[in-house]
Amino acid sequence: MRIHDHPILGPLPSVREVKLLFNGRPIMAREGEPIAAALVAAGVWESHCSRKAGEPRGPFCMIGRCTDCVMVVNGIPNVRTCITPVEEGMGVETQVGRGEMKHAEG
Amino acid sequence: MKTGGPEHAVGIPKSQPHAVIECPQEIPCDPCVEACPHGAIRKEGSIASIPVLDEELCQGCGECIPACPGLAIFLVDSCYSEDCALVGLPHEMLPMPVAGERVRLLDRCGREVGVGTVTEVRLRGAYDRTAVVYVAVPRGLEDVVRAVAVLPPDDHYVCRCEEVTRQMIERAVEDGATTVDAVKRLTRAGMGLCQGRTCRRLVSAIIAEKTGKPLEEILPATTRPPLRPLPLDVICRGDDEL
Ligand code: SF4
Ligand code: SF4
Ligand code: FES
Repeated sequence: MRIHDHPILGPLPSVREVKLLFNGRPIMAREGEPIAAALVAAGVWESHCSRKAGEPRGPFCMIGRCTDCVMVVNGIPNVRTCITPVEEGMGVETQVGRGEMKHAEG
Repeated sequence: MKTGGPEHAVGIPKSQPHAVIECPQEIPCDPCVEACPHGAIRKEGSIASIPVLDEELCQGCGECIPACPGLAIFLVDSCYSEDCALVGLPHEMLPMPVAGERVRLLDRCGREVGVGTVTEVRLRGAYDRTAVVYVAVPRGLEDVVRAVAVLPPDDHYVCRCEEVTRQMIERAVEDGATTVDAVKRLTRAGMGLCQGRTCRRLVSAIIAEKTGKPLEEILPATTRPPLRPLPLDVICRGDDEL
């Protein structure tokens, strides 16, 4: 789902395409767009699985408030994907519960 | 807040259903103009001007209601029956009411003003999931009612992060938790990842409802820094650029 020609904002400007890895699967995205936007455009709505009930959750507020869109990004869990820009080669994984740190940050 | 009102209906025979456009902001938007099959809605001059309803041309079909992204258009029939008026309104909430259902009537500020009966729910493909709910309201309320609410089931989540339901919060209030902090301590509502951004106002409203106190008197939760989620190493490094 992507709006290519917005009646007010006009046509989508062309930007570099980058590849992100969603659960190991390559997905093409627009450089700099929020990760959640790239995933929704690719038909992925589920970001994580809730901690207590184990229910699927997905982007809800899209403005960085609700934390329903959190995923494991480059090994770091609980990253709000609706406000985190896509970068080339980024690894994005569906989070389970509170998630696990894959490796220490740089 | 302006309460709108009968001035919208000036010049329209009382018995005729007609659109009521409550769109006071000059924004570049005109789906309402395109949606009206009878050419009854116009924008004079720029696309950012306020839409004007031609009362002579309006047939009361309601097609403009789901087209407005601002949910600003309603349908009013002041003489629906002997004691009821009819209001058509856009509805984008779940659960969806069904024809015949009794629903709570809300005013423009979300305050409950009475109970009405749904007469019809229209949801066509072209409406893009915005339903139009027609509800019979006591006469005199047609210029007041602007939304309906189906009573929420008790197992709706209020705190999404900690998965705390309305019922759990109500039980905490019954157990004596009458401030947002007290509810938090008993249920964990507000202690999840988003730190209460989603639920704190809802929790206050439930406490107010259960205790019968005005909302302003419900003590809010204590707010402490950091005010937005930060990775701990930012604090450890002492970066001043966040
Ligand atoms: S109710 Fe029908 S005729 Fe009246 S303004 Fe809306 S779309 Fe046009
Ligand atoms: S579509 Fe709704 S918000 Fe837009 S101009 Fe018409 S009435 Fe106003
Ligand atoms: S969707 Fe709410 S924080 Fe991302």
